[in-house]
Amino acid sequence: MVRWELFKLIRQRRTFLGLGAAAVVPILFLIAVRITREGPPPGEAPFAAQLLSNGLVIPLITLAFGSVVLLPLLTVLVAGDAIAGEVSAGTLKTMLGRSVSRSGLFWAKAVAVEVYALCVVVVFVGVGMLAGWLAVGFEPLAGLGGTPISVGEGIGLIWASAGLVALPLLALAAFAIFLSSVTHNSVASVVGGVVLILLLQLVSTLGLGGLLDPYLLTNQFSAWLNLMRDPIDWDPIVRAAWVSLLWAAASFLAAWAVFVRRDVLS
Amino acid sequence: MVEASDQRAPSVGTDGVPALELEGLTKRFGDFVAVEDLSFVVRRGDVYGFLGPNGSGKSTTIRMILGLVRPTSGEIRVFGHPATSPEERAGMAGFVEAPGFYEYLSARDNLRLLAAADRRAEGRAPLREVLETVGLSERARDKVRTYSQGMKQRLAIAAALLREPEFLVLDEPTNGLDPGGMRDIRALVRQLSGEGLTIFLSTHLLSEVEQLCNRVAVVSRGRLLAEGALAEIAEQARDRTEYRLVVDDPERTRTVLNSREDVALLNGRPEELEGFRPEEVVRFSTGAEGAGPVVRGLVEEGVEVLALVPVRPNLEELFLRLTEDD
Repeated sequence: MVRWELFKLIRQRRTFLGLGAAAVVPILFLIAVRITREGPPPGEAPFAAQLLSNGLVIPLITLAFGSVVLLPLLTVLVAGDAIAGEVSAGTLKTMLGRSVSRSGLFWAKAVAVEVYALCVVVVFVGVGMLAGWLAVGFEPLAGLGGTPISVGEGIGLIWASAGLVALPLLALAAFAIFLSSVTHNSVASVVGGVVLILLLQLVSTLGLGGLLDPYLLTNQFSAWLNLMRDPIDWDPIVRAAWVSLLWAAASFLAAWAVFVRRDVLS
Repeated sequence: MVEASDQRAPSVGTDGVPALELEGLTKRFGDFVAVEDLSFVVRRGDVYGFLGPNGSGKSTTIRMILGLVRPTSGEIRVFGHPATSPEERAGMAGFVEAPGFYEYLSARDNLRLLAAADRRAEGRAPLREVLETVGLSERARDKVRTYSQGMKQRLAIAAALLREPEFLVLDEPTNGLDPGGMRDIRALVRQLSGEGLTIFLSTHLLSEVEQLCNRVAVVSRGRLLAEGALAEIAEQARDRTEYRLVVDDPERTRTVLNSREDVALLNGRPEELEGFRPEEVVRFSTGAEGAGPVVRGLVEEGVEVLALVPVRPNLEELFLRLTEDD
């Protein structure tokens, strides 16, 4: 079933709008930088000092900004629709009339959505890196502590960072699938996912999180910055991993439990 | 209420297990009772009509049969097995309400996907045959988005046949179709029944039941009103002759009739009788003994009977009466 869920994703225009947006934004960012010859002032964003001279910085800065709104949004747009969209199109009832079990169908959908979310990150970082290389070229990277990072190591760390950003993204996708399963309503699920992100970011910005602040899902999106330190600070990275997995597991289990029982009425 | 018939015709098929049995099936949504204590049996070889006005709980019942909705109580058995998992529903296929397909895929890809969901090995499902059966071979590679309502209905039947079922559940298959489309679907149902399939056909059109079905269950507001062979129900319709009575004092007449156990006052429709005003006419039905005792009773109470007209209801009227007087 996973193969068919992926096939359905590939045949939907929206999937490519999402991946297209993930590809276009780094390019637009690069063009804007080349035209204005200036980016964010140094200190405001990590790596900004090398913005004009080092193509490796392009995927890093776009990752820093993209993980705040763009990547979560692109993920939630598809994940929130995963079940609700099929309810409103009447295709869920068609599928449930076949031999596949509800559980089998659910996990196939879950896998397909997560593959999509991973693709969004890969396209976003890959295009940023490629564009940076073509337009500016690579040179050794100045780490966050000032230690130089070789080009080869830099590329490795950038992909490791992408993987680290993917973790909370997968958790967010799971949460959107949960909303989709409970509400059977695409708009509510997408908006719900976005509201969760904004709410958690607000809580963190206003300092309302208290002791919980380091454990908020949204704060895991910046854990990858710690990969760029020398020595690497593993604590926040490990925390990002388990917090994300916890969110994902809880969301998936709840979504599954609802999906296998819920009446399908449309 | 017409009594359900206990007469069983010999069943078609290799054994006597019915295709579908509902036993005390009930579904509540909060306080609203969508389906209440529904019980009937669809035997192998039946074309079984499931007749009721819109909103009578037909679709909710079919959703429960197909496993989309969990019954609040009661049991559904498909070929003798409690239908609680896809494996136990294996011999059954069908659809409920407007069929849903992936509009951005071709009909062929939709069917291939459904075959995969049936855990059929690629290439083993009778794709070409079912498209042929419903007359969609020419358009199979077009996206479902471009299909008319009638084509989608036919695709839904193709999708059901793809499972090579013994028991087909069709919910209002002619809904929203033009007369030509309706004729095509009905011809298809006859053909499939001729090929030995058991068919459960929900409809709000009595004419459809008369044309296609050998047995029928009539439901209204989620409850079973009548069940049995079509011919028996028609027979019961003739037994339950309705009378229109014109008297000098309709008010008093109603009171008298209300107190009699062998009489059912009928309401719900204007009581027309040529040459009289509607308010002068009292409509009632009575048992096999006829109107004699009723008239005698009225005369003893001092009511003057001006006219008494028996009206034999046809099936259409019986259906209306069943679903209205409830």
